[in-house]
This record gives sequence, C-alpha cells and structure tokens, in this order.
Amino acid sequence: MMDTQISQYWNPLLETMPRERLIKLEIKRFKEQLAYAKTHSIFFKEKFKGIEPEDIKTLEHIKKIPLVEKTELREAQEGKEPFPFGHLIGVPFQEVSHFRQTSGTTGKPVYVPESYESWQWRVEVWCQILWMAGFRDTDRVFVPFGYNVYVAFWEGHYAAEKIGCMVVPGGALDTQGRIEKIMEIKATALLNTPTYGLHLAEIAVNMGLDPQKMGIERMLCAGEPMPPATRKRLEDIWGAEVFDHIGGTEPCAWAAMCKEKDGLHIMEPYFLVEILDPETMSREVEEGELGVAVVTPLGRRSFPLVRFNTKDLVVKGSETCQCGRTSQKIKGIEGRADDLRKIRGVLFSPATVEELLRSEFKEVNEFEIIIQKKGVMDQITLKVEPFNPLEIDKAQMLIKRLKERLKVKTNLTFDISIANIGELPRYTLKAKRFKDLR
Amino acid sequence: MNSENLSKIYLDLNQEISKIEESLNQIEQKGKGIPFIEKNVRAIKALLYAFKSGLMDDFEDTAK
Repeated sequence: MMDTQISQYWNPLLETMPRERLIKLEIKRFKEQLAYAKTHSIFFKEKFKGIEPEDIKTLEHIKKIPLVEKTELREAQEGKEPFPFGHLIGVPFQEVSHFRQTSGTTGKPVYVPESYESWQWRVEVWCQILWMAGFRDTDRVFVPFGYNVYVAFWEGHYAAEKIGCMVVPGGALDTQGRIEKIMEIKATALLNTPTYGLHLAEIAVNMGLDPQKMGIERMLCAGEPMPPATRKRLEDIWGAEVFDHIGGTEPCAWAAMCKEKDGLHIMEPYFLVEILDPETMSREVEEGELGVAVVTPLGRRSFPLVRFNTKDLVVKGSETCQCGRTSQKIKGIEGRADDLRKIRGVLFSPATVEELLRSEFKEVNEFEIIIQKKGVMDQITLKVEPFNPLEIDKAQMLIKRLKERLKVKTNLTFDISIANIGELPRYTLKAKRFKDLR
Repeated sequence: MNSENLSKIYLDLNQEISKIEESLNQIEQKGKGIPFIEKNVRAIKALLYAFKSGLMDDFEDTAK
C-alpha cells in the first residue's frame, strides 16, 4: 500500500483488514462486550442470565442470544435508579459526563448516559465517518443546527474538531443568519439534515446567492432518511459531494458512505451488525435481500447494548468496494420496520397523536394526519373533527391547545384545521388516518 | 508500505499504550484526592480507550 493510498483511510489497518480476521476480532470483542454488560448493567445481568460469553465461538452462537427491544430499554429505566438511566447504566453515575436522549415520539424517551470514555469512543467512530467523506483539517465546518439534548451533530462536531477542522456551530441563528455566516467564515463543509440542506439552498437563492458558488465542497447528512434522488439533488444544488450515514442515539452511527457512494460501509469492528430476515428475525439475509439491522456496539461501556433491534430496514450489500475497504456494506436504507417517520429530523409516530387526542381531547371524534412537502420542507397537518359543531372562539381555542400539546409531545409544529361534522372518513377495520404524501 | 509493516506499527502502538496506561495508573494512585490530577488522568485515559478501540487489542489472537 502506497503512503498516498494509506492517507485516504482514517484507520488503514482496520479498514482494509481481511474479512475473516475482521470477523474473528468482532467475535472476540462481542464476548468482551457481553461480559462487560452482564457485570455492569442490572438489565443485562437479568436478561442474559445463563448466557456465558465463553460459550460463544461463532456468529451462529451469537444469533441464539435474545434480541433487545426498545420497549425493554424504557422499562429498564422507568422508576429505576439511578435516575434517569435506571438499570441500563454501565458505569458509576459519577462517571457520566454527557446526557443524551431519544426524541420520545414513539413513547417515553430513552435516556442515554455517556461517560467521557464512551463519548470519546463515539467520537472515534465519527472521525472515520467524516474522514471517509473527505473531511480534513483544512475544512471549515458549519453546523446549521441547534443540537439540544439529541445526539445528532454533537458527534459530528466533536469528531470534526478531533480531525482538526475548524468547527462553527450555527444553532442560534435563523436561516438567513446561517447563510450569512457560511459566507462570512468561508465554510467548506456542512453537517445538516437533507431537508434543511435543501431549505438552506432555497433561502440562499431568495437572497440572490448561487449555492454552487458559496464554497461548500462537502456535506454530511444526518437526522432523517435521504433517498438517492434527494442526495443527488443536494449535490446538484450545492455543487458539493453529499454523504449519508445511519445510526441512532442508542447504538451510535453504525454505517456510513465512502467516496464511491455505492452503499454504506458498516463501521466494523466497532460494531457487530446482523441483518436479519424480518419474518424470522433469526436468519442472516443474503446480499440484495431486505433485512432488519440488529446492532451491537463493541466497546461502549456507559450504555452497553447487545443485539439491539434497531428496526431499521436495510438491503444487504457486498463485501467489496472500489475504495479498498473490506467492511460489509448495506445497499440502502428502506425505512423502519414499524410506522415511524422522520419529519424535519425528528422521529415521529402517529400513535403519539392518537394517544394525545384520545387522552386529552375528548371533544375530538375523528382525525387525519397528512405529511407532505411544502417547497423543500416537510409539513405536517392535523385535521380534527369534533363530535359537535364548535363556535369560532372554541374552535380557535382547541387549535391553540392542540398546537401546544403536540409541540410538547412530538417536538413538531403542526398545521391544524377543524373538519366539518362527517367530513372525515370512518373506518371499521384498519384505519388509515395517517398519510405520508412526500 | 505493505500490510506487514502496517501491522507492526499497530502492534508497537499497542505495547506503547500499555506502558502509558501503566504510568497513568501510578500517577493516579499518587495523585488520589487531587481533582486536577484525577480528572486530567481520567480524560487522558478516555482518549487512550478510544485510541485502543482502533487497534487490535489482542494481536496474536487475531493474527492470520
């Protein structure tokens, strides 16, 4: 391997390691992770009683270990000490230095503790992700996003910093202010959601600017699914290279795109990722088949996870790539195994709305949720039909209350209207109150 | 650089990091109760942990 070739990899030995050796390393790390989880997390001690790490010799042995579901994570935290991490924490509470949480739109949020050590582990994974996408110490990285308590962009920020990029957070600015800042600092790279990448460009054009001439060379997207056509559109609009990745708050980012942009590389050996047949959830699918990703982060201690069912539907890809990396690839991300949607970077479940309406808005009889594109932005609309006609002031009050409560419950701003009595369809079997028209 | 040379660099790194960890443990013991030492050692150890995750923690076991 020539020196010039070596520098294209963040970690040349691991990224080009023969697969047989890579798998051996992952099995070894899996056993260590399982042993750690069992001895440091009350949840795993109970869940994996009778499962001994030393009995694991092959990937097939691993497939016999029960999966961990998100509902179990919630139950392991609800009312359990130490607050708010409960039985999932894998280090003494005093070691926790970062607090993260899931969006909570599918139910109660999962609270994720990060020790300084575990956080550095996550950052290391992200360094490789950014390096694969061409981020270097000459880059000026602008992050037009308010990071808040969610993990998206925190990792990218810290990793870009570790690589040596100049990192500029743009959370407190409005879109116009962010565009001005991009120009002011001569930003070369962006970290944002795909939707926001399109919106930024639209506003830049309205300001009389040409996004292709704003100096952006690369963009790494996070926070919501990015179909290939959207990625291509972003590349055309910005005249920049656009990269995707997949991950989550609980398991971290576990696959990302290289410069070939032919699928996403699983971040081996930091993760053991199984892609299982959705029906049986036990058989590893073949290349080209759709499967559910089950992820074990190998080496994360403050929030140890073993065989976490991400419910991400992915198509298994090849084990070879023009870039020379030897990690298993996934061809594409096909969505979620359940009914979840990502809207403006926020995970959304229609069940949250139904639960809210049924529990707090007894005057509402029927409802309909529609997601569509308004320009480049996602718009979510809720139409509610009351049991009885409402006078104007009462209707306005209902809309106001709904907006407030939905914002709290979903972190999204809804457009709300009141339907006439009998206007919305009625269902006797499987209701279709949710329409995603994007 | 061939893959053997690369492996050798990683193996050497592994050994060097083990030595640093040993020194840090000693410093940690000596500086017990002094926040400045305890917290800085903890921060360095965290970085070393992340660094080690990119190496081959048991080279002989995973070598061809």
